[in-house]
Amino acid sequence: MRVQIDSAPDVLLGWWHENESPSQLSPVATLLAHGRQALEWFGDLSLFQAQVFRECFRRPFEFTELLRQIYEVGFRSSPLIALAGLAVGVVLSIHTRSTLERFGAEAMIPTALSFALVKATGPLITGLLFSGRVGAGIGAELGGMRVSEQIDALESLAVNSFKYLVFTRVVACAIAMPLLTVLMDFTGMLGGFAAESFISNTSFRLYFTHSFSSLAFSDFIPATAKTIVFGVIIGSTSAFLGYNATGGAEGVGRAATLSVVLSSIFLILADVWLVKFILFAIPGSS
Amino acid sequence: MDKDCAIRFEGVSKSFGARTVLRDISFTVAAGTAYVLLGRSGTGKSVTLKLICGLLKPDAGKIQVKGEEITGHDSTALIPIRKQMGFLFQGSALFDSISVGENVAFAMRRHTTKTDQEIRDVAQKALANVGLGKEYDTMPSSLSGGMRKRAGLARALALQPSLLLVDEPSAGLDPITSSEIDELLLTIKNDHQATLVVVTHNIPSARTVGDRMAFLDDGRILAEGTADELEQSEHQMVRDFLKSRQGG
Repeated sequence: MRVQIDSAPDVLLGWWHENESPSQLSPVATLLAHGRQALEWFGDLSLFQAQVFRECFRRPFEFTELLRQIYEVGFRSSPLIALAGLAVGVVLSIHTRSTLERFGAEAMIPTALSFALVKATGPLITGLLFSGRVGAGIGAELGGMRVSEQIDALESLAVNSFKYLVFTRVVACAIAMPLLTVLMDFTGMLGGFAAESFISNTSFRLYFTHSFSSLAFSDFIPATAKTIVFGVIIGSTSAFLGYNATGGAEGVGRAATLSVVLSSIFLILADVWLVKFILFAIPGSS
Repeated sequence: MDKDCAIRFEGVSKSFGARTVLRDISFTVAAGTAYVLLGRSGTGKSVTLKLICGLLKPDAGKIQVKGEEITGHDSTALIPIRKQMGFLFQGSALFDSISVGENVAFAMRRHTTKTDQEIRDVAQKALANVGLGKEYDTMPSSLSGGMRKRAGLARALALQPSLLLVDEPSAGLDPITSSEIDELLLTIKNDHQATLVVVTHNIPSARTVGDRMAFLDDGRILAEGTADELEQSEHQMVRDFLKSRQGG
């Protein structure tokens, strides 16, 4: 399945192709034409994602390449996530303190911080950072392989390029995202502790006892598990754009840029929907 | 099924958007022969190669490879037939994230039960055959255009294919290297009884390698036959092409 990728996303980003502009059409017809293009694009993306799902049940499972991709997208993203987690923890801790000390509730800082990190900030920031690092990488790498005929070369060597390149990357993203989110949560709490101990000399044990005292598995599991969906969204959107890239170096650049932009937008929208869904499915959690 | 027929095109057409590249073309390539596709740039020669390999699907018509109709095959269904094929791409299309030697070894690692050492040895020998014996661990980005082309040929030959598709083997190469590649293609055809389909602009190379030739123009086969027959073609363009393009 190969499709043109430059219609609907370009409309989303406000890029306009003069040669594609139906200038003779009325504004309503133009809007409808672009609406149809956007629907077609989303339809193609959905079929692409469905194909990834189908490949989960078909041999070969490409374990070697999958492990390599988990290392590439997961392990190699961990320094970025850990560093960002520390910084987010420090910043959140400072802001939480300034708010809670007005009410004399400084003792609640570790609890508030752990809730903020585990349930909302950790998954979302990990997803956005991951889409920036990994999404752009997948879009550019597959786009480069497409325009230099390396994907055709893979096919000519009797290798299912979709399975080898797309499936492995999407699954690696789905596996790596929750692990990186846990890392973000943990380093965020460490950052929070560092900031808090600097101000109030709180002990490590006391801080983490407070952090985990109110946190239940029903808070942690759904919020972390939803990042599997984030991983699928980032992996499949980026792979879709890269795998179907056209137009040489410009096309590769566009695939990389769109991978980050669209992955991030879809991820934020999915987060809104998933939070509502988790609240509905597991009352008292989110 | 005709066992002597390696490739059969029947009324194949292919368009990209509004641009029609192939219009109702039909031809057959006999097993163990070399078939050369000639024609000006943009006349559908590379598209024809990709159709044979199943990298593109025709809009109309049927394509048979080794007696098997591949027109409706998806990527998975094409795997058995592709294991019997080698494809040298115009730009070589080496995988730039692995070394030259691993490019050659790639298909063997996936499709054979050879040990790692055996695969390395075969890949090393394949590279030596194209004059790149010392480049096993070199990354493709460090190779010149001609070396990349030869590495691409070594990769295409790694599984000892019975059908070799070659897109512009001498483009951008010096005359000596070009002639070495022609000799190598001849050896593959003669010693391994492989079928070759070669796209080239280099007429001396086409004469050396090709048993039969087809001249494509505007998506149609304008003339087909041996080099001598094409020189006597009723079409002025074909005669001019064979006379004028002496060097590629």
